[in-house]
Amino acid sequence: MIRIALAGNPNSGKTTVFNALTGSQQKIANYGGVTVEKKEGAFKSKKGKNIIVLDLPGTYSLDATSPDEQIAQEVLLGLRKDTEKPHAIVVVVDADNLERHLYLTLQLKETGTPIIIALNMMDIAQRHNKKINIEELSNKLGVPVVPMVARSELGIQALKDFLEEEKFTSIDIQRKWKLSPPLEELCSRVSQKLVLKNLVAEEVSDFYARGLLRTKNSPLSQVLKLPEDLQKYLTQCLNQLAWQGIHFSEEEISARYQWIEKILSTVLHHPSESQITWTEKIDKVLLHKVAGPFIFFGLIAILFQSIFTWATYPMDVIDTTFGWLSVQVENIVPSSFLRDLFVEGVIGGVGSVIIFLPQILLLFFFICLLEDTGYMARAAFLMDRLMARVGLSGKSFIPLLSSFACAIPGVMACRTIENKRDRFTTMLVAPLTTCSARLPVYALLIGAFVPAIPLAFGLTLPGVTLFGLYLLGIIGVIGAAWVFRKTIFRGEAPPVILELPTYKMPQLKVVLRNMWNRSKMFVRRAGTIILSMSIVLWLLSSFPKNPELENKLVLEGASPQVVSSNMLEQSYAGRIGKFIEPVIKPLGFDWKIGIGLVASFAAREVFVSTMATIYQVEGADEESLSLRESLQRDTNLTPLVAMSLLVFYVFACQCMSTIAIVRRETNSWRWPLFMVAYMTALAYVAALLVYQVGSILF
Amino acid sequence: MYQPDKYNQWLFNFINRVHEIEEKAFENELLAKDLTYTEIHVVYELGKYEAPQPMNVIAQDLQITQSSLTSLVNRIEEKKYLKRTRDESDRRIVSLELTERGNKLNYWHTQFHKNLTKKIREILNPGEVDLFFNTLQKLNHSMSIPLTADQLKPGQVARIESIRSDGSTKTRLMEMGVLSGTKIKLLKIAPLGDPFEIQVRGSLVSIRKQEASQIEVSLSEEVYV
Repeated sequence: MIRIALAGNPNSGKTTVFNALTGSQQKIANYGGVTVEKKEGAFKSKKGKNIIVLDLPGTYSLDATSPDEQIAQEVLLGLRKDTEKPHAIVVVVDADNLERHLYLTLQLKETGTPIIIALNMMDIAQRHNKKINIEELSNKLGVPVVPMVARSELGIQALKDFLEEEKFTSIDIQRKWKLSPPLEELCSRVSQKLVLKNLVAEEVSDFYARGLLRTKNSPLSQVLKLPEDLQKYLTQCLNQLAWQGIHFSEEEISARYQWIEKILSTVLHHPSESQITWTEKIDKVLLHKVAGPFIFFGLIAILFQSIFTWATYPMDVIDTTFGWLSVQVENIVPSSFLRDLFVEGVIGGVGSVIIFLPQILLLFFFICLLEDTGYMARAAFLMDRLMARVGLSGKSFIPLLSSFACAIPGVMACRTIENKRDRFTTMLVAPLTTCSARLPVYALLIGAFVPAIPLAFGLTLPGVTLFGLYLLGIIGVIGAAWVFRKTIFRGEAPPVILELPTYKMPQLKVVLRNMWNRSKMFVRRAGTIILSMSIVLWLLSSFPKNPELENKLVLEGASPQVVSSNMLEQSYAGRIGKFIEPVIKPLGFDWKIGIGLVASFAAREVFVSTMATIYQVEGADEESLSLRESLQRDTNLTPLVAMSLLVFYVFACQCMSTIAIVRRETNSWRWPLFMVAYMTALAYVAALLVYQVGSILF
Repeated sequence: MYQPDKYNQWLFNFINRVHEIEEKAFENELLAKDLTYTEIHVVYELGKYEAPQPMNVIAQDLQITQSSLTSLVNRIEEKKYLKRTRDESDRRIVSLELTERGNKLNYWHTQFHKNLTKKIREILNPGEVDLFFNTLQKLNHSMSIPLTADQLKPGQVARIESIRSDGSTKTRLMEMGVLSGTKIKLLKIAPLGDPFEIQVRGSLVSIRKQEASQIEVSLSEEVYV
């Protein structure tokens, strides 16, 4: 078995190479303790050797400033317990952008692991009249180079054949670029000491020495378990460097680039006047002062249109299917506790997740498509200034936008935000955007309590109310983000350095696979937690059983609806609802709404079915007239209470899956609990204001 | 011994003295009373040339835009220190020329400067004079306000002189290939004025105005990076 790591800059076509190498045999997991994706695949070589490919995160450097870089470095040095050290690294290099991509290549080579260059996008380099002397490049670097066009799978077989031969050991790993003489001397002194103390092997001693000289408290010093005298010596060296005003890492970077420039002068021949590329032409339109934002918002409009209209057809189909499934099971299996649990807990629970799948698939399809073409970075570029007003960056825009469909993909999309403060702020405010699960609740309450009075310009009062609720959510996001950046995540705005990749024709295969992987992750993560929560809630609302009361009601000739309503009232859920009544009384809510709130803690849309049970309406949904009428007949439920309830739903965090996903992404219970706390507090205060001020006014 | 307070005091006093002397030189003259400090400098700049000079030359000398020079010239022309003339061969080119009044002001000005250096030479010995002016030149050279990347216009190419920011920002910029000596081209500015799209080493990178203002550059004549 041969283990290969795949490395490269973002936008080097690394994923394409990975897919071309491994086909559909892929496994996605997480590295333990961090939210960095671990992607592994495998293929069998011609001679039947099993070759495992580990896709490292795309990074610009190995200096470990971001979690991605940290992981890549740890894997390559064999420091991670959950990942074996690879035998060799295939580094994907963009032939059209050699200078910058060779930088990471040099760094990778310095780790001492044998490397092979996959020189990708040869076609684009050729189109730009760049001539690369591949033999010369290979000689100068002391590394084998395999030219390829991964998108059309050219050169992939050559790479596979090369890997199969396992000619890794002959690769020359000596560092070729040089620092200034005094720094070189310092390096060799430190590396000699490391070798003398038997801490590292001689061939990697230079790598470790430089790592230790780069920063104080380098993670490497713990890895090596430096003896005290050596640690003391290092501190001395570092202090002296600081005193002389020398930044060791800056010297390294300059030296690497200088060396690259030097070798490229003989390796690369390109026209002195670079032509205006396609990318620049497209950017002229898409980043235009006026047209740019216009096109951007047009794309968002299409995205929303697709999520909220096209997705409704498959959603209806799923809804009917699950309904049909429950009925079938109920008909076939005799009545029992397990049957009820299965039908109402399991099928109902799974159904409530799957129903959002069409929307999520569509959302991911668009996001993956925009990412694959290279437009996503432009969206961040266009929106950056706007997001900066609340202390965030353009990178937060897409996660927040996604949250309008569902907060879960939104929170998951936060991974692309490098800065931790920005990432956490975005994650914590994302659930305030009006997700599609709030819509059934809005539809029910607006339908019941907001009269269809026409306003100017063809607008009606219900429509304006709905718009107002969306707006309120957005204001919540802006306000909360602003407050968080001023308080718990205070700190200077981080530098936002973003690469704008060249435009590429999207590849359907890549987009679909991406979409599929992410949706799978959504179903797995959200599905498991929703399932368990809906079982718990089902138990709460079905127990304790009270056969005496039930029998009495049935004997009295009460309708099934009346029976189930009474049963719910005396269940644990009903008791909790009554128990919290004093707390929610100031908001205008009675115990019935209390039950609804408890039930919809797992997922907001459950509110509708719970209300239907309480108000003894059979088979009702948010469009149902009978449920609306029942609500209107309730004298406790005034339009003002409905308003207060709507406002509560705008801000409250009633979504177990969001809590679960935030727990996963932040790796602690602290942040999801904080999120629930702040959102509930916000919802409570806002609803209190609406109800109390409203009571005084009307 | 290093005494920052005292040094600042001396530095401040010296600048004030020069100002005082300059003011005194004109005290008995009725000239220049009606001009502001900036207006006087336009006249001096023009006075350095023998022949009438086009607007753009003077604007460049003073490191101001042509439009702000135009409004300055309007006011100075009103006060009759200079006049606009049109080029015989190309009527579109507007040149500036000092009037009698302007020339007179310029004469006094050069006299003042001659007196100032003469005075310094009287006070200091030859060795000290050399040392003083060399030191001044060195200070002037490095204290001039440098051009930064956020002041570039779309399409302009510049060479990076130095990066002022420190720590992780600078490291990240450098890793992306933004180093001293690298040529960059400003391609686009986002609709709301921030961030900036620059071309560097064959790739397109978006940086915020804040980061761009930390990158000192000098303009390059080239069109391509």
